[in-house]
Amino acid sequence: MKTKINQLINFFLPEKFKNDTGNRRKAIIVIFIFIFVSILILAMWISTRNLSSSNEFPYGMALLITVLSLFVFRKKGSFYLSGHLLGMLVFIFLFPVSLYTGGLFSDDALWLLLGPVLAFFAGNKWTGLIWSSMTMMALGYLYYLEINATESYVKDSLIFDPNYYITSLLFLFFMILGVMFIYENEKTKLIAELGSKRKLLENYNQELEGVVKERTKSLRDSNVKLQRSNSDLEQFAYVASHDLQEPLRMVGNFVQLLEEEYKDKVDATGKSYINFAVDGVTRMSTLIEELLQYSRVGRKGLEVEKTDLNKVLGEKISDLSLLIKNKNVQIDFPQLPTINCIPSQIGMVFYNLINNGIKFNHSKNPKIEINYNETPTHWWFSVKDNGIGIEKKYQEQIFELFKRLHAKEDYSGTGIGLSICKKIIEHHQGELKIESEIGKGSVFKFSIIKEFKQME
Amino acid sequence: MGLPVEILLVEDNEGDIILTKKAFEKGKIMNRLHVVKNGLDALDFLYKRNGFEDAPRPDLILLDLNMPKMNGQQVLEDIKQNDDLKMIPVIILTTSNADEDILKSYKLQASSYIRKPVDFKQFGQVIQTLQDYWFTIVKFPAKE
Repeated sequence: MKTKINQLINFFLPEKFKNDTGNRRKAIIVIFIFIFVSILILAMWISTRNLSSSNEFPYGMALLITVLSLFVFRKKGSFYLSGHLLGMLVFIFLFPVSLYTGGLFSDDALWLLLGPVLAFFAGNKWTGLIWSSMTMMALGYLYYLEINATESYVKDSLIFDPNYYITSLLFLFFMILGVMFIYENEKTKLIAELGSKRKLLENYNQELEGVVKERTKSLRDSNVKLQRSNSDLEQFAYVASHDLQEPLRMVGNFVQLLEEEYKDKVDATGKSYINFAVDGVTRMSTLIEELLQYSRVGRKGLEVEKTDLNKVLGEKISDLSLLIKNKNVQIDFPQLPTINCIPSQIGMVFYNLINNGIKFNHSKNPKIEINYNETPTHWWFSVKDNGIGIEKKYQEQIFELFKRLHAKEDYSGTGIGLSICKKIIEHHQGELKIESEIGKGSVFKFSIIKEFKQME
Repeated sequence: MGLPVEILLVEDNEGDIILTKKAFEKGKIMNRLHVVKNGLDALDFLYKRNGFEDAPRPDLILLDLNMPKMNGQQVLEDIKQNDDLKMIPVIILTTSNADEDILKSYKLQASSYIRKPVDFKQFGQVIQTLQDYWFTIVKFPAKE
């Protein structure tokens, strides 16, 4: 007998609840209720047929619906759906009965409350609430019929009828009990869930903290390394500027001293050799100097100042005054703004661009035009010349370190100037661009961020 | 200017000493160049002690920054704290053109700053300018 029941239960148990102990128990209860209701209907059907007095209730249909519901549960495994079906079954079976057998105050009406209760327990609180309201509407309807049918009776004795009070109070009691039960149930479930979530969260937090600690440590390590390599670099720059220059100076100076002190003994060839030596040394010295300038861009120590660019540009033009005079250069610029920048560096950019504009220029009247405009975030400056211009394919390359497009004999220079400019402008969080046409001249455009602050 | 100008050169590099001497030889002004090779000797010279008892008080000090034992910076700091010595103009000689080196020199109240050039002709010119400037235009406090 027991194995038979087990087999039956297992047959109707939805696949997904077979390994889920919590839901499995609930599913078994639902199956039991369905089977119980089926047997009940069958029993009533048989018993009323034997009485053969009234056969108005569609027992066959009810049985069919119940058994079908059982199969639906088996297939779908949904408590929500089965709760609805149970509520509906009770409603379909009992509502018509209570209509015929005495209305609101009959026992059949009381049984209507079974619908929401089953829906609560077999389904969930939403199915319970839906069927509670359905039942209440039905009861309201019954009450309405009652009032109409027995108006005179109600007038005389409704107030003293204990049946009325018992039914109403019981109804209320069941409602409150159901709601409280669901509320408590949900609360404990929620609390349990919350607890497990919090535990999970704490675990995550701990994990995260570990990761953060690890990252912080590695960040600190690389920071230390970076600082060390930075100070190495500075040490190198210092060595380069002092110790590399020293021997160069010795060579240059003493070769010249040799020339001077032994004038009579050195012939023209010897003098030209000496000139080569001095020239080489001078160029090397310039190279070292410019490399140092390049490496110093972006280093701490130089102050960002509110800078009057008219003053900066004026100084640079006066530095170039000899060249400007010799090559008959015309330089035009409007009243320039006062901006936040590192003045010595921006001065160097202007110097290099103007110098290039004059150097790479064969025009009889070399012309340099400086202009500016602004966007909400940046200042834009342009330095335009009427020089030899640069072919499109070389326009990117000219900003590379040591990149020269011309032989040293044609145009002097180390090939560092524009690289320094680019690095300075990048340090000022701007852009350095070139627009150029061969034979017509070049326009160098650069921007400087308005809210410039020295990076830490 | 009948008396020779007394110049103290504080420099450890033999080559630079010769070059400076040569440059001053070409100068129009009569001068006596005294050479010491480190900061400690420079101070001994200025304070007339430890073998420099007969040293004259220099009219001008040419000071190299990079030296063993005691570097130019320390010498300058010492000089500027002494009420008597701080009147002597000090010119810093340096190889580097770095902004911070120049700034450092001026912070220590050096009177001027000269970058040692690679080109001797240029160096000669620089020394010439220096002589013209310091011994013709600038008037020093009268010697006793």
